[in-house]
Amino acid sequence: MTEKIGIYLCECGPNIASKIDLDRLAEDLSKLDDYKDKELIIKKHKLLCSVAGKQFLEEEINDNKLTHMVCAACSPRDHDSTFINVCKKTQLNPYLYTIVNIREQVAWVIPDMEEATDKALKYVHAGMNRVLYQTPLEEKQLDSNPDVLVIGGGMAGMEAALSTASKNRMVYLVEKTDQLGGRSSSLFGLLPVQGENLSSLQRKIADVKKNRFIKIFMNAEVERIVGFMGNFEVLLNAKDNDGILELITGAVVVATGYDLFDANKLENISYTAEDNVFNALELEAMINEKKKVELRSGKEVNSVTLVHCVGRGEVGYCSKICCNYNFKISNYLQKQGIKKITHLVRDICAPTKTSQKFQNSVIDNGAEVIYVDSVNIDGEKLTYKSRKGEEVKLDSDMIVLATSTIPTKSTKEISKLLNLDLDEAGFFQEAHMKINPVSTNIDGVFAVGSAHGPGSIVDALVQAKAAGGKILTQLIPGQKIIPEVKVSEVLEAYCTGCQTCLQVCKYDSIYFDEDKGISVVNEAICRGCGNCIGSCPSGSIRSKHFTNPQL
Amino acid sequence: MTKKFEPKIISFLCKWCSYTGADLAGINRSQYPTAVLPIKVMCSSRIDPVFLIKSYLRGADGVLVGG
Repeated sequence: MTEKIGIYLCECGPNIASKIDLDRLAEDLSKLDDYKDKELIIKKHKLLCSVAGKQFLEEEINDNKLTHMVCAACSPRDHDSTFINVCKKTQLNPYLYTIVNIREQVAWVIPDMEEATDKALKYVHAGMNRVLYQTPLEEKQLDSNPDVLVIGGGMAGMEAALSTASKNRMVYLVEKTDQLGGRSSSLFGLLPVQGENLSSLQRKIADVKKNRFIKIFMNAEVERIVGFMGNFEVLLNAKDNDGILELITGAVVVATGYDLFDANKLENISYTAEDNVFNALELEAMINEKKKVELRSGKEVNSVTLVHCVGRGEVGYCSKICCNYNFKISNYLQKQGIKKITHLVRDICAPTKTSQKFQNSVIDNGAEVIYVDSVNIDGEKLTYKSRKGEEVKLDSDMIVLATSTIPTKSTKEISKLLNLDLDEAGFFQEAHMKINPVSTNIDGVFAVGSAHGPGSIVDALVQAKAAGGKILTQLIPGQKIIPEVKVSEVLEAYCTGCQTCLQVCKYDSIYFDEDKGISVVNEAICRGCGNCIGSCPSGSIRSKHFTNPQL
Repeated sequence: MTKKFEPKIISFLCKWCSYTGADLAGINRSQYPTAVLPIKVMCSSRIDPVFLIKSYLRGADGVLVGG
């Protein structure tokens, strides 16, 4: 059977037609020597992507019974999918069509019409050659699981669970410790503008516990996760729930929280557990437990120095929450009747719309703010270097350190389990700061709360809700997933089983079949990058739609 | 009169970055010689060294791998 290739030249309004002589292009194409034995149908159209254009293509394919189609038009980024959808309506397999980019990469970059037409000829000719090497591919459908695994039972994790749990969607909430609430539950209260006490946290914990579509695993850790969006196989080590158990979920939300930087790691700070030096969380815990602030000896406190930005220079980022909570502590101390309160700051961060007003109110009530260059702490002796360069000694009964928030150990472990990218500081890297702020480099995996970067409880709740929204729209119960078709495949006969491809695959989509002694590609995970193909010593891996002859 | 030599350059462009970059060049109406011929790949890691040799054997003066 002779191939019947339909070649459609798009004028794209004046965009292409004014730069490329499409009539000459059509004529030259019809005279190509190597296509003498093939049947060519060459036509031009004003705008192929328009409703009329799509109708025109559909009729052309059906009336002429095309075996292949080439559309010379814009970038595949714009309308490749448009023309693929046209093919899907006809008998022509979409993988027997190709788009040739004669707008962005020819018409718009070459001012001379003759030259541009010559180049377009080469381009379309190459497209015709390629399309003849292409083979029809079929899309597969896979069952998708709508359930959600949430790792971390803090504010962010609980909110993500609450926003996704429903009749058709189970949520498995995994918490490492024996209580829900995360770091927030160790605080004595929230900022006064947020309602001070922790009743909102208690309410959330109660909501999670009574929701019958949320299954909570306490004292549990994730041992292994493999899979892809719609089908993650999870291995849990849940001591309270019969030990090791297996789950299948469609999405994963990682909310592994934060730790505090150890101030003793700094050269200019050294203190012991007997000294009256506390990090903020230790002080919060004390207030929570004793309902007041006192010295380690149990004696009354008359003066407190709060040091901001401890470790900020070393970690390389502002932790965003410390200024606010230091002023919150200050506010508490003032209420307890402590008169001498000093804040040593390098900069003040007032990140939300209420922060500045709140911080100023504490300052107006008598808290002193001193701008310093550096702070030295040796035991309970504190000196600071002022902005003028003077060394000043500052005596106080108690020192409170606002140390930087840093990623937890769990964050690192989970990133290894799931192959998630971390940023320079070790927090989860978002897929795109503005376009996809809570997604990660792996489809179906979301990072929320402080595991994603330093932030307030409000930030954590917003991120958790955003991730919940993504899951609700991406994983619809009962919907099938259609994986990428242009993936790699291993030609069994040639594979020597060297496993080089397993090491180079960035998505962990290749596994080794021990029985057959060969590598096998999981098509649902493969993104078709071709890293394995380039590195296969025996040439046994092939990319569907990007084979060597096609290129 | 001989024509001025213009090198023929085959460029393998990653679909996600450099191919998009080439599109951007078009959108910005930048101009570059006609002798650059792009080939789209899913990722620059797809490039087999054999492609480079083949390009030269078939008359390319230079090969650019963008990714």
